[in-house]
Amino acid sequence: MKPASFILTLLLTATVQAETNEAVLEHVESLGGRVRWVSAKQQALEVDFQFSGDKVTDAALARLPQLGPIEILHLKKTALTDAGLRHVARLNGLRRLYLEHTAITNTGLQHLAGLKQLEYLNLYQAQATAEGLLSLAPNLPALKQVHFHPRQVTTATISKISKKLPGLRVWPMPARERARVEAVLKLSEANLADAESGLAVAEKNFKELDPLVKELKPRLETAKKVADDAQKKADATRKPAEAAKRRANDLDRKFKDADRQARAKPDDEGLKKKAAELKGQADETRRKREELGKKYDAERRANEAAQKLKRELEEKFRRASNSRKKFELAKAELEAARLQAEYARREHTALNGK
Amino acid sequence: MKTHELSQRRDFLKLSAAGLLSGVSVPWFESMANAAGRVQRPRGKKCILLWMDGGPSQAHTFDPKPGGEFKSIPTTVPGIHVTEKFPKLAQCMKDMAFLRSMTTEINDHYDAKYYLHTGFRRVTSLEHPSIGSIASAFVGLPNDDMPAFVTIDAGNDKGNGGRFYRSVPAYLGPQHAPLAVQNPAQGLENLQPDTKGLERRLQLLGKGEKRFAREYNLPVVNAKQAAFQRAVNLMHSPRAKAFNLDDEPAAIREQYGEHRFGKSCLLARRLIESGVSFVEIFHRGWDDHEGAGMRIAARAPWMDGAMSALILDLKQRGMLDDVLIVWMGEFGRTPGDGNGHFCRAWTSMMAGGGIHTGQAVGATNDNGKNPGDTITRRPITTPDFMATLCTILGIDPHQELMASGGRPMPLVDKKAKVVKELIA
Repeated sequence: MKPASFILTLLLTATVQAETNEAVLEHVESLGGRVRWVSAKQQALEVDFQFSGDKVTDAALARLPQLGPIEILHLKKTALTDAGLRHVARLNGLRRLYLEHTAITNTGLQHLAGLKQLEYLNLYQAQATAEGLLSLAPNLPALKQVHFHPRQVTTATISKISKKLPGLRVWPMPARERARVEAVLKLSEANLADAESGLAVAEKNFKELDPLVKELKPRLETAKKVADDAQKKADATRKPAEAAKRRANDLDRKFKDADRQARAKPDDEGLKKKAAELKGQADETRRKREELGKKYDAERRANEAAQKLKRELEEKFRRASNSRKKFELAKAELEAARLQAEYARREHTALNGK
Repeated sequence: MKTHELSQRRDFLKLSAAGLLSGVSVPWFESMANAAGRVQRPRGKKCILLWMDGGPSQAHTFDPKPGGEFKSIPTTVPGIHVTEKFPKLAQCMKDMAFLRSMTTEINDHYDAKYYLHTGFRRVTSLEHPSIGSIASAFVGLPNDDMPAFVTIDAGNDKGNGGRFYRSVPAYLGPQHAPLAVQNPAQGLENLQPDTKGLERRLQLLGKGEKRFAREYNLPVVNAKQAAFQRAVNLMHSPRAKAFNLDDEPAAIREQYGEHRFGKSCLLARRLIESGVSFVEIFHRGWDDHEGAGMRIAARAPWMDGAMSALILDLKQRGMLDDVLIVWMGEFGRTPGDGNGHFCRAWTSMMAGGGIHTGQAVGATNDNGKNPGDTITRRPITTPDFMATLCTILGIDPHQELMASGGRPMPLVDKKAKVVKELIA
């Protein structure tokens, strides 16, 4: 064959193929389906019929293999039956297959035995059961994950599957589910007990403290007033005391300076006299400082006591006035814990009754 | 720089298809390129964000400390403990990961909510898109019946907790604003079309809008019409049934719990199943200034029940690897009684999403009078957290986008480092 005609043939094949592809794409879209690339780089397709509903029937799937390499196929809630899976079985590259809420049975499932790339199979709420998977799964070397509704599985079948194919994960997992429900029940009941004792404490506090609110209020008011007064007095005495302290320190330093100078020049009478004068002044201010300091200390202590009383009363009042809110919250908490325990118990019964 | 529109992808496909003549391409590929306008880019992962508005106390939930108000209990993963109030979640530990070293700088409610939703500090010059809108733009399917981003109001315990943050798409465009569900039990009340005149009225409106768009061909006009069209599509879509919780079997409803938060979680699962990419559930009232203990004890059962039901249900349905669940608030609370705001060291949780679960990333200290006040291992900043979240969802956090005014903006702060421990 000449190179030119080879290219021509290639182009022709491509064109024929192309028309078919586009026709299939149109067909898929006319059924309310969508076609997407699987990822930005891969040249593989995802076909999504999950919103097509009854429009997708078995015959509608016959043309799918001509679309291109399909890796992901969603057939959730379609009118697909076992016969339609024959067409699906021709999609050799299929990795993920979604058959939730379809009429697929265990018989139909066996059509999929040739899908050697299939990794994921969703049968949630389909007619098929774990029994069907048990006979299909050994033919699917890549299969890693299968989903069922709890109604579609039995503990015995699941344990058979996991023994036969340890690499395959099937949901639900009854043993794990049982352990989960047990743990939840235990913890919920512990929470309920905590909430009950919490409510008892809150109720006791409320009964004790709530009547005190009325009594505490005027006492707190008085204590606040007393504390404010004490604070004012303490503030008023603090300033003169501090001023006196500064003045005393000042004079003391001046006296020491003068004294040093007088000692350095023992002949200078003037310096001696000045030092003596300053000593007299320093002694006087120190006395004054002590007197004012004592006064301030007394006021400060009185203030501290008043503030402490105020704080204590405030705390008491806060606890008393909060006791109602805390009681209400404890009631809400108990109600929530009760509901939680109730649900946990119901779940537990449902699982063990099965 | 990447854009999230299809055009580039189509170019890429054309280029690949051009390779056909060199004999390296596969025949089916060219036709796909022709139809590339219809064949969409791949989805990333979906996400359910459980937002505990006001800031939940880490010490009363997932980072228990010796001498704390609640006892700690072991989980199914040896070495990881939670408080006694979460017995059901303790049994789901293998599917959860704690981030115990969140350190997020902002102690003010609104600014922290903004920071943790967008990954950027609030500034006056520019608004940043929230994570839900980012997911809508990069994970959501354009022109899909279902909205890409839905928020659900799970109610509140108390009114306070600061101004409420509402997700904003900012420069990503108004089509990425969330659809808000006010009450999970009622779904979308106004969704039922009043059959008779509707089609005719819509046609009339369409004509007028077309003329307007011809005269004023502005992005905002197109976006508004697109949003309107999406609402109409949703109205006609059979998938809108997802908003109706009554279709769910009683046994499943009971698992999630009768509390509004449980209903919200159940609705989130239904929405994710029907094609929504990002659901944010917010529950308000976690600003426990009067002590977190009693409050959280009362809240824990419904939170424990709904969250564990969500994890188990998704797992049972084989969806958990494709859906990331995130539990968090805008900050944690002061160690001990949980009275104050505390952004220095707190805990968030991630579950599912195909990440490495069954671990606690980071740790806080537990000695001294104020246990848990410093991080002893692996601090996670807000940008780190946002970059990690984006990466898990399949969004490149390092890409640059064009904000309004032609201002290039990184999707996540450039200093951000992904928490590698979580990513498979």
